[in-house]
Amino acid sequence: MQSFGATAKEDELSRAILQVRARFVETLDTQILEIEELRKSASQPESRETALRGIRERAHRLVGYAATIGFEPIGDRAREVDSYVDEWLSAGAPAGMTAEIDDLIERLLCEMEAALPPGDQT
Amino acid sequence: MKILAVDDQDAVLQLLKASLAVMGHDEVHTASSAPEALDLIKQAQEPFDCFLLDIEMPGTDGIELVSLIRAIRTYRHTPIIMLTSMREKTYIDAAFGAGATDYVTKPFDGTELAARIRVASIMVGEQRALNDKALAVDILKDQVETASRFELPAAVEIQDVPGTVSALVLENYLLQLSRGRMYGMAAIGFRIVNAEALYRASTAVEFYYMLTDVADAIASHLKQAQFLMAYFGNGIFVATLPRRNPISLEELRWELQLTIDGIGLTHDDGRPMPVTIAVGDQIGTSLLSSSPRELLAKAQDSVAGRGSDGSSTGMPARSAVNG
Repeated sequence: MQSFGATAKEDELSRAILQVRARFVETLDTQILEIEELRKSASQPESRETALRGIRERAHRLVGYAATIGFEPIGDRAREVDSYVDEWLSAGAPAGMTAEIDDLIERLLCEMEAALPPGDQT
Repeated sequence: MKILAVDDQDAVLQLLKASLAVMGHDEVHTASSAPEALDLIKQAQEPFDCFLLDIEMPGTDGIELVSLIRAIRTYRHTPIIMLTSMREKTYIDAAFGAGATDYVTKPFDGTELAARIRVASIMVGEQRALNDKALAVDILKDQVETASRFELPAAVEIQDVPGTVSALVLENYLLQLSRGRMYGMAAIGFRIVNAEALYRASTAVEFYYMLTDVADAIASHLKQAQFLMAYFGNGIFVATLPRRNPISLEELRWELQLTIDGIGLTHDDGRPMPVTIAVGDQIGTSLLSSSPRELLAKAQDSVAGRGSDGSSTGMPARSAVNG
């Protein structure tokens, strides 16, 4: 049998998860727009590296907590983008790998869009 | 337990705090950057018992922060657990080298995190007890001779040598590696052949400083490989490094002895303190059978019966991590 204290703390954890989740959902459309803008910039060779660094940073942040607040698919897709862009940067930003990166970004955006509240989905 | 969690993401800090509270850790402080963390450490009336540090932070990153915390005497043995994504696992070696105790992969699981904190506390407690019994390192730093000698088999922790950690931390590091990464690891044993004679002829301070100088010499020859090393007692060190490395054992054997001879070690009264070093074989792991403990033991065995010229000396079995 759980003590009252343990239950209270579990409630506190649930509250924290719900708070972070609500804030995440609130800012999701902005995050999607930012990634889409960066994705557009990444299609231009002169701004590609800076834009992909920006996308990697955002993806990396999602890896840190998306799964904990119940958005595991977003965390998984974000991890793919994070790892692949990191590999691309480590390889000296070769031109040949960008189609795969774009595909991974597309998959991440799809997952993020699926998590939008029903009224906000495009 | 008083914990300081450092991460540049508020969401992660909030989740950490709540998860730790469920596990009974109510005194959790948070900082969103290394400078903020260092301010909190400076201002703390009671020292922190454990740190949780994100690796990738803007400005001073988690690895630099580990070094800065370890430079504070109070926190030499405090558990430091790194929070890392899979990608950052490549930085884990650097974090251990800087003094981290363990790591947890993000997104973190509250139960795993609590278990790691518990294990880190036990481990550091044991190391602290061992060091307290063996040698008061802080007193050594102040050049004060301690009356209590440590035993020759004691795996005392060597301080302030790059890449050198306690035997417990080295074993813990290996335990965290995946089977694939473990398979990519090798270990080399080093033995001070005349350790027993030196031990008998030296004070605790002299013997400890000799060990530090030898560790420094080994580290300088291994710096081209990503290594971690620990002292296991009885004059034996073990270094772990990637199986594929640029080290030539033949060259290492004679160059290391030359370096040590070049240091010109002496007792406090000026008598020479000649150190003879033997280097074991590079021990690899087997995909099916090797455990970290086995790898470290084999590396010790490889050098235990070996003289500086490769001949057998009849040296007895290895020393255990806990002495």
